[in-house]
Amino acid sequence: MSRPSAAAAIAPLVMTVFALVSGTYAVSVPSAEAIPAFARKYTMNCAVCHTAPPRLNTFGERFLENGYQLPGTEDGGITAKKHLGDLSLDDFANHTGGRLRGNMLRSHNFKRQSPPAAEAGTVHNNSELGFPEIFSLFTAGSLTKNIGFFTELESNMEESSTGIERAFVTFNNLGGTNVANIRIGRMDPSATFSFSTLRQQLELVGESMNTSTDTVQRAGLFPLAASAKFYGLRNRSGTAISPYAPSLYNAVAETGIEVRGRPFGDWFMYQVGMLNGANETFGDSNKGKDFYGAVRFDYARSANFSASLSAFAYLGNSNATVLTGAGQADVNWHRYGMAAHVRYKMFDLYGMYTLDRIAHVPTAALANFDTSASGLSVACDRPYAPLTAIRQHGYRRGSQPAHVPKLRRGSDQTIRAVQCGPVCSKRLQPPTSRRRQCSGP
Amino acid sequence: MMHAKHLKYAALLIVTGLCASTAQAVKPATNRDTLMEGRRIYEQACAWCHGIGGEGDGPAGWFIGRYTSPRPRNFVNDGYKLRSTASGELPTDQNLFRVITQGIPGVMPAYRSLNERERWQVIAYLKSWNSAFEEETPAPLTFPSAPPGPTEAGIQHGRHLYVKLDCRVCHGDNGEGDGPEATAGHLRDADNLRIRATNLTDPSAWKNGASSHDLLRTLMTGLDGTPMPSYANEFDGQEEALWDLVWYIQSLSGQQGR
Amino acid sequence: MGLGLVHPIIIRATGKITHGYEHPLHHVPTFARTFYRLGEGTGFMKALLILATVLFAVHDASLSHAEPPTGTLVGRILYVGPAIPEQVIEVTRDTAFCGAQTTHRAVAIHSITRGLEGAVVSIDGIALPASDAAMPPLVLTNIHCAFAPRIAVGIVGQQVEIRNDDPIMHNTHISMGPRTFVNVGFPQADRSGNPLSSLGATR
Ligand code: HEC
Ligand code: HEC
Repeated sequence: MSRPSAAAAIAPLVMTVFALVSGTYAVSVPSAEAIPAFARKYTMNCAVCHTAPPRLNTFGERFLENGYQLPGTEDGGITAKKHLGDLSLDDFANHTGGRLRGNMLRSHNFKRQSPPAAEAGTVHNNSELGFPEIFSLFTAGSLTKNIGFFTELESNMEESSTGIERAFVTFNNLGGTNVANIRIGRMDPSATFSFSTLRQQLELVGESMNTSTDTVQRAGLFPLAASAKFYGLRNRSGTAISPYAPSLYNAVAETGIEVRGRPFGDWFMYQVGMLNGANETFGDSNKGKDFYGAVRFDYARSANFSASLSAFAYLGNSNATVLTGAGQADVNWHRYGMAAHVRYKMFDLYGMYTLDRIAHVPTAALANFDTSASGLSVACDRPYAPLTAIRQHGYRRGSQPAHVPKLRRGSDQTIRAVQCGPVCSKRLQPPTSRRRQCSGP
Repeated sequence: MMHAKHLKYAALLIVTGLCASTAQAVKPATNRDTLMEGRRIYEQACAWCHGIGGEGDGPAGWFIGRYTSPRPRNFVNDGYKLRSTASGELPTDQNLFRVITQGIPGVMPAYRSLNERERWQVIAYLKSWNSAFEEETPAPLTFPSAPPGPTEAGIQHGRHLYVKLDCRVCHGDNGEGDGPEATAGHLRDADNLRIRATNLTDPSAWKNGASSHDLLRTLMTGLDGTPMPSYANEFDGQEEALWDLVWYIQSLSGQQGR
Repeated sequence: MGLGLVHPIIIRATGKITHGYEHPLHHVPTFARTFYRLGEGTGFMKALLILATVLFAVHDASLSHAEPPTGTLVGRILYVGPAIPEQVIEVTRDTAFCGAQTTHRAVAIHSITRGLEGAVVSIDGIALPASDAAMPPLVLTNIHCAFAPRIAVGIVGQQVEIRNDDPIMHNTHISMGPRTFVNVGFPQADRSGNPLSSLGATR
């Protein structure tokens, strides 16, 4: 996620961290990232939809796709039978959930080259005691049959920001069961992808960037294949885009509209969408819209097994800028990607490969970086009661600023991480203490 | 005390629940069309957990209980928990209709979003996997009707029965599901997975319903495939005592007479 | 007709037996099945193969005869394997009446003849003639915290009567595969009836 900072707008992006997170282990505050509201609404345990919250199992995926309605049904109408005047606090609670996220104890271990020219870096071993850093408030559910909504307000102490993270409305089952589902608003396009960017960590270990010098101090744990990859790209307001920020099809949130459906049955899904792109929050400088399309093939018909294969193409249109010396110039930043996922019983394996290309780079800037980059991420998870272990492995291959000594163009970077998090398997609470449900042990 | 005629009526209500009167009306005949429709609904709504072939092995099934009970029902050869029939018998169609309509707290959603016709169609389809449904005709037990209401003496007597009938061995002295057999991990279900003895102080999690009639049904039928036995024999001819036990269990959550 | 062939036949301790309680139903108060699994879980019995020989003589009808055979199968099943130790199982409930421990013999072998008690031999592929004869109920009794008899053979449709002759509470939980055949709680000295409704082994 890019950090707007006026002072940083024209400072050259310098990388000070090279061998980044070599191991990250987070003992997390019990922060099951399921949406407790859904579990309450249907009186079900989180495990019915989640492998390890926020990751979804096959049932949870179809619930999400159906606009927060039970797969195979259109149950939004059930909740809408109430008149507005009859709504009770409980109804509100059935649609709302809060979550606190943060690490009680977090330890990093990374090598920092500082100043960047130094030959060998110094190893930093940090252990910090934390305080819940991120508070999010969700309201999600179905307003009436086939109309769903999702909003997430987030207050992030680490990034000292508060705002709408995501907010969208869904219109489902238009033209027949699962023929077309529309999503409008600020959303994550990859939500239904085989390797959905947002759900790939139990505990957000965000990147850390010095906004006054545009230096990356720690890479976040977003899958590297989904990251921006390039050094030297800026958004339209001139702010540097971190090479670790999830972007394009894999953005955490972009404003736009999409249509998605499975018109021929469960085995095939299509998705087409249009976004403001340009890595902006609300509002659009409207230089051009970005378009994306994706297909997904599913198999879920044999014992304890499901698998999927997805592919997408994302075509940017003046969605980033580069410095030319004389000023900023627009470029078109595209991405193509494929992902696959297999699940047997409770073992999950995911993989994603992406290829980024930048078109229309002015000749003056061409010397500074490659116009293509690629990324690969592989992850697997396996619940051991009561913890879930997730392993991630990824690399990015992309441009480095030419003026940074010791770094080759097209250098590789690898992040390996093992995360452990609590499994949300709490039993339902008696009505009086319902709000604590799914909040871990 | 109610009239004999009323008794019969009340018993019928217990068995069928609220849905019966309207539900019966739309129940389609079991023919090819019904089964085809049932299959379509099943594959979109139920197969995620119960498996495409009904064997309880859908791709989401393992996550529900993880390494403990329950796994989704295997419709090919499992017995059923939530019945109005005697221990070991199959459920009636009305019993299946109730489960699908109410869901099972914690593990299976309520499918009120399927209309009644669709629910009947899916029932016809899932029954078609198990030939025992053709060979046997499950008949509901006759349930005694409720006396006017709980009395203090009745609840005391219920407590006495709770101890005498060894409920506490599984459900614990105060009904919190922490009896010695449960805490020692001895309780297993038909899949040989560890199963908890239900917390009797939290009616919201009961699978068979929390009204006094629901509880009575649970005690008389038992939950097949689990260690929870049927006590129909115990109370043969002693209906009053059975109701006392029901009141006592409800008193554990302060909801006697519900 | 003289002696038939001498066949070595292998009987698995947990193999399928038509219409029989697959296991000798050892019983401990209230939680027969639970304890039973414990005993079974010790692994030894499960893996054990009992090598037995059977000598049988078939009167009048050969087994391949087209008409339903009505002959009598006579023979003895001998156990020739190593000694099978008894399992000692701790009783966790009603110890005042049942004692603190009970022994569980998965198979009973006569010490002198080496004959296997309670063996059930099934013959496949023969349709037995239907009989209208009234079938007396098959009685399974909880007595002194164990089931008696430990192995029984019933016919589909036959009533199984479960009794409790002990002065304490017993649960009787019998399953046919994954399906509960009956699971009933019994107060002192009572009985209940259930018809055997299908083929298969119960335990
Ligand atoms: C989210 C997973 C899930 C879905 C989806 C689901 N079920 Fe279930 N169902 C379960 C589980 C788990 C059980 C076993 C509960 C237990 O044993 O306590 C069960 C049990 C049942 C039972 C047996 C109840 C009894 O008396 O033993 C029936 C009947 C049933 N489901 C029907 C359906 C139908 C019909 C659908 C689709 C409309 C469906 N289920 C969808 C999880 C699911
Ligand atoms: C052998 C152990 C055992 C004994 C004895 C026992 N129960 Fe249970 N009972 C269970 C188990 C295990 C369950 C949970 C079944 C499930 O979740 O599927 C249960 C479930 C229940 C339920 C909840 C059913 C529902 O709707 O979910 C009630 C009520 C109940 N028992 C009451 C009693 C009473 C009253 C007695 C004594 C008369 C008793 N039990 C004796 C093991 C036992």
